[in-house]
Amino acid sequence: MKFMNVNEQWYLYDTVMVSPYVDLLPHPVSGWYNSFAAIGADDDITFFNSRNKSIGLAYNNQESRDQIPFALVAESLSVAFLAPACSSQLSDPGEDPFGARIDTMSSFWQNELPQHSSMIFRVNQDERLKMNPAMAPPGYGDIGVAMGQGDLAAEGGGNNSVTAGGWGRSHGKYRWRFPTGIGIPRRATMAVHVRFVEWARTALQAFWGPGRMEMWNYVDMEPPSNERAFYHTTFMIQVLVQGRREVQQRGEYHA
Amino acid sequence: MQKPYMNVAEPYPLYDTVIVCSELYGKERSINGWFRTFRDFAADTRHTFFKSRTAGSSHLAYCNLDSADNVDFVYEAFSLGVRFFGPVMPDSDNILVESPNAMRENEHVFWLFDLAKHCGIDFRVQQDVIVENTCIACPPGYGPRGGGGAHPIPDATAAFPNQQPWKVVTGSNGEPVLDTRFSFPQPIKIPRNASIEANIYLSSYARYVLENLDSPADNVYLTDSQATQPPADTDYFTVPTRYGIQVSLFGFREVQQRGQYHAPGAV
Repeated sequence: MKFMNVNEQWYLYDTVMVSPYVDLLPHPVSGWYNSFAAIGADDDITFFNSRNKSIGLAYNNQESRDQIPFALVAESLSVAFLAPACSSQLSDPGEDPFGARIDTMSSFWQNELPQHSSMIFRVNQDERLKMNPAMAPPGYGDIGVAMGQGDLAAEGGGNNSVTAGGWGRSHGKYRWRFPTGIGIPRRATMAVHVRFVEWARTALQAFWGPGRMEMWNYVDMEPPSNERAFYHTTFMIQVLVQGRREVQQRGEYHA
Repeated sequence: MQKPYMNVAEPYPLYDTVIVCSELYGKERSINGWFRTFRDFAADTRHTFFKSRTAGSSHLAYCNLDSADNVDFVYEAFSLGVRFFGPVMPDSDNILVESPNAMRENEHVFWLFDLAKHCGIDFRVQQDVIVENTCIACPPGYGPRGGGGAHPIPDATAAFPNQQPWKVVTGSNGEPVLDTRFSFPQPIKIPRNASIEANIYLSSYARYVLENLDSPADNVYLTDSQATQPPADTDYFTVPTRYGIQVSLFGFREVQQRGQYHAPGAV
């Protein structure tokens, strides 16, 4: 009996994370970094050739870490620089140098860093796209506005800043397009390489952080109480290829 | 020969919602998959939609399924979206005068903007996985966009501290226009009585942040008595903040042709 392939909309994505939280993972993830200094020291940040979805569906949906498991026609590509919206980067008073705080890292990561980077999109040995990733906005991500300074109380007031938004506009049509599509055969290798310029690498290697964000923990006592807690924030770079994958026709879902 | 009936397509959404709120009201207390704390929410690594709630068991605001685990009509899905929503003001305790630093300024910001970056979603029709994606790339296509401004609470020990303007945060995942959703260029035809399912998977980082949190707490609002006199500690009126995740399908459902609404003389 014959089978028939059909096209279906598919996003293929991979993510690099920068956070001290990486050190808390029971198993290290290849190509993730625990500090700005660590990613700044790396000259070649690669995607689609070292991780699969075992790191979490939020960050990767590859079945195979270095091969495309289905025929894919790539229609658009993006490089997203994702930074925490909880953008007050704080130190943990209990562990880190007391009083460290910077509020501009999210904005730097989302808005300045893409302009000082390069990217190469490769299918097998062919380079299909070489450019500045600022020209490949994601077309997705948060939008928002925050106003007011929050809690200014002298005793532990947070006055935390908020950075909602990213590079480009969060609309799917504002992505880098391949109008005729790039046909990627099954079991082909594919990779995206992102590199920072020396200016960015020098800066990143000197930066403190990423820092922490202030939250409130539940304390199980009588009466129940709460206490300030400081959680690691995460900065990420996410590459997403949108296209159509070929799969065998599904069950008879014809209405 | 004329058919005894005729089906027509009409635009229709299907949606289901998970709520996290310290206070659940009435029949909400027995709803599967709703939570009172972030700790309980984070204890589940997977949250399932279109499987256990109906419009009757929850509320039409949150779910419009008639059947908990079957699609009640032939449905043609054109797009999928997931929306993270929460309060626009920081959570706080009802002890603002005594402890203004108990404002939780980051919880709703994390939920609105950051959590979607740390969750994955899949969507299944019967046993087939149709979508596997990160939630941030599955925007809802609707939601708030604008913002409002205010100054902080400069001195919580002054009279009327509760009437000081608060910080406001509004926003969404993606532009709130309908074509920013995860689209199915070749629509998915779902037969009547088919089962569908969406699952949201929390990453280990999302659980690391949420699993110990004290919130959701409350938003403090003004009452008539507080407007005319300094409030005592017990005078505050608080509303439990309500966080949620809503998964929606947009498409067309097939229904039998409705009654003849053609105006007399129009044809």
